[in-house]
Amino acid sequence: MNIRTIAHVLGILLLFLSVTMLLPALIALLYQEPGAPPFYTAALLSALLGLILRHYGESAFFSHREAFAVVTFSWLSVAVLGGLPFYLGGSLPTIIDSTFEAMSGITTMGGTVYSAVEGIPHAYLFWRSFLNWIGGMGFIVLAIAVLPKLHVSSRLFQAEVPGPVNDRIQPRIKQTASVLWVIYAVMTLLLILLLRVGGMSAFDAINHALSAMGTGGFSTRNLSLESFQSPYVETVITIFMFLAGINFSLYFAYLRGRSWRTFRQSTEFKTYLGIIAAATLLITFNIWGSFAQSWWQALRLSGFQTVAIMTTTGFSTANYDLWPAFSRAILFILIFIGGCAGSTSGGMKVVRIVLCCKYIYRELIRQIHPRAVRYVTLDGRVVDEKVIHSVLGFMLIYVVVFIIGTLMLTVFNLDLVSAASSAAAALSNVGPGFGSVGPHGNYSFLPGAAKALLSLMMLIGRLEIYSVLTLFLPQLWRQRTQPRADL
Amino acid sequence: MRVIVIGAGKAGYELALRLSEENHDVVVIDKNTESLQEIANLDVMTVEGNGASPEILELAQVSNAQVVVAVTEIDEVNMIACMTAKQYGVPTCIARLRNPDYTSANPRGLSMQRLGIDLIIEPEQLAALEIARLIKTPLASDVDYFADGRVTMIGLQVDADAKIVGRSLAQCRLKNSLIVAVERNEEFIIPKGDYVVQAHDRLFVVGRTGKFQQIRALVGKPAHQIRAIAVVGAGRIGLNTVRLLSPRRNNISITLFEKDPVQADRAARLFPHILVIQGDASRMDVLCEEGSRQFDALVAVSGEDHVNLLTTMIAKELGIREVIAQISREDYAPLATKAGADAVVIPRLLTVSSVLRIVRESEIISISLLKGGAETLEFNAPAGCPLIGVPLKEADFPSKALLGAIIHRNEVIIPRGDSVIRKGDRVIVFALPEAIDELTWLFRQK
Repeated sequence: MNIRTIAHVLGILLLFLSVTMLLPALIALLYQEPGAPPFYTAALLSALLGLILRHYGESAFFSHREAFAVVTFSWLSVAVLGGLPFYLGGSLPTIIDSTFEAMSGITTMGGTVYSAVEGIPHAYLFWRSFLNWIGGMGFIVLAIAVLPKLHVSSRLFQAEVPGPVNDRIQPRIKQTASVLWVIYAVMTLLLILLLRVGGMSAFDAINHALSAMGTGGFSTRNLSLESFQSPYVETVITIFMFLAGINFSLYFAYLRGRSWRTFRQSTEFKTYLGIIAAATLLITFNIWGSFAQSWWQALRLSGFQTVAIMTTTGFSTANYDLWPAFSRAILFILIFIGGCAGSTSGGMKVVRIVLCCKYIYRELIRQIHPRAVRYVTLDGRVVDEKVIHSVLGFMLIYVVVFIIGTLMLTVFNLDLVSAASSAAAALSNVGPGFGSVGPHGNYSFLPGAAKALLSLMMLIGRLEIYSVLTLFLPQLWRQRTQPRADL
Repeated sequence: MRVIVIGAGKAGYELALRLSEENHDVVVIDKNTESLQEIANLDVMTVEGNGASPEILELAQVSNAQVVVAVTEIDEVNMIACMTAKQYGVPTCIARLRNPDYTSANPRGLSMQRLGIDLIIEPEQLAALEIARLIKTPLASDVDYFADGRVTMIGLQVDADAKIVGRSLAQCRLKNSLIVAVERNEEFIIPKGDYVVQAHDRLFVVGRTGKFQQIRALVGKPAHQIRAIAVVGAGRIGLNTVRLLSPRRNNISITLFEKDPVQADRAARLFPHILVIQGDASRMDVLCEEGSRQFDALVAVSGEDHVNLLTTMIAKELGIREVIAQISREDYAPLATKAGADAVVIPRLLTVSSVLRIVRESEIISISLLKGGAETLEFNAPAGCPLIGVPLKEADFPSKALLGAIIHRNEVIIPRGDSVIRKGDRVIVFALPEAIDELTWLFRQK
């Protein structure tokens, strides 16, 4: 582990963070609110820290080990420093609260410790949604796209972008990152326009567009989208959440080839579509008559909620915590599945579920035919056994982290449903869970330690476990003989 | 015609034999003295050396040659030999290529012409094609298509308790097909109407494609649908066969057996949707474990004759209805039949027939070689052919050959005594070796 290299890269990323923090300050000036100074302070602190790290660090050998550390620490710094304005401005009581809020923003979880968001300054609201948006496509991916040159880009990209295998869509990582961000930004702009057309105020439209595209889920209203009571808004948001949950490289392939072939051939996309359709129908029939008078209303509620949970956005248009047990169970399972790899959503990712099911089928075949040689395929191509093992390992660790998290949350006297669902919601970056952390609840009542634990689980979930957990291994920190640069 | 054969392996020997019998001037080039000595017993000239070297080719008088056939073991040598020969102005250069990187996997076959190769022969692909044909025509020992698939020739062995046993051909009253030859005790006969069929005769029938129900019922071999196939051996023939049968599209289930772990692994990666079993299928327990009873057919293409023979015997012992065996040495073919194989595929024969089609100077459209030198040929009747316009019973047709079908303006005619061949018709003829010279003369472009 080369700590000085890590410091160097981290320094650059902190400088980048300080610049982005000037944006909410601008909003404060625009609305003539007193919210700007906390952002100046936080930006200054971040810039100072960045300069010190850069001064201490050096640009040298960089491997995947360093990438793990850089990604984890930069996300941690974004959470701590990015949350600082909430604390400095007196809007949240402790640093733990502010860090939870910023972590929930950047990891696109969208669970909040504000018991009421209506009435807090515009700058804060915007910063929360903006964190959702940056975190959706990835803070470092954005830095790679925007900054002139980061010599370690490709390793960082691998460590940050979700999914078992990252397909590069362009030969150079900077181009790849730029393409992804351009597609992302254009879709966001489109959503802002559509929401504006639907009668939302400009500020609400921007905020909801940012957090919907990032599949974050922060809202400017206490009741989330339920407060708008507009079928148009719900439909538009549903569609864009759905789009944000699709692998972005599919859009790129469409733009390049102008054909839907890649969508039709993608097993992950088809499964994603299938799961959403099935869950929507099941919930529709389950709540029809009891929680929704007409079939249309049932479909509207279940469609929105299914997509919001599956893409791990976490918006709500109803208090689904009151729905029948069957519907809640489906939503609970969807929390774990999440969206597609290479999208802005969290969870285990549909492709991993697909590979796991195919692996199970293969193992069953092997029981019947002990001598069979058989590979798992995806989209007609053979998947390497190494990938399969890492996928299975990932899912196993995911479940273990979930169980440990649930256990530790019950220590704080949380009931089992709330504990399990908040652990799952944090790990999959959904936001609201069930029970006391349901769509009409929030996370403010939890003790500090529980908030810290949930913040860590959000980070573990967003960075897909390995980056964060490997930092706990002593071997990773051992100094290593470096290859000489002149060889 | 002067023909230069480069490579005195099995295929080279077979080619030299057939071509010299047909009165061509054959020169065989090989590096290996021993294989040349064996081939020198034939009426051919031999040259020792590298067939791709201009010096050696000049020794074989390449400038006078009309055809060069390169059939050495090494693809690259075959290609370079053809390129070199082309520079001496040889009109037709034929190369045998095995590596799919150069052939079927490469859709831009045009580049081969630029290399000076006029015809590529892929023995493994030809064998796989034949196996696929046999699978589509269950229980036939031989299958070949003529006239763009409208006419089929099949070989069917008569069961001991078949209805046809003891009847004469005239009594069978076949519609849509004609029995053109009978193989009895490894000897071919051109039958007349009074010929009485015995058990275990192999009948060669030419007829309209897909209209063989009547004769199948008579010989006791009704067509059954083949749904589950065991392929033994994941060599090139095995892999090509799986690819041609396209199990996913045709809803066929294929189980591929391969002894070698590396080969099995490769096959599993190439065809992830079929069942690949790493195990020796010539061991009874391996076949039993996979439920031998469920297989409608087994294809033994391991590349080793003795393994294929053994697998055939085991498969028949386990009650698999149809077994197709690949045999490299032609003299083992009767053994395979005795072991119970319903059809025997000899890749080398397929190589030779491809070359013969080119070498013979007449209007041959396609040619299918059978064991023992008999052939089925498809000709275009050229203007001036003495058979044109004469009713068949009056025509002077070679006695060692029989006309199986006439295609007149897209219409398939099963000939009778009063049928007439017209100019431009295509004819399908079954011929014994003795009749081939006369036939090629009859159908020569004048």
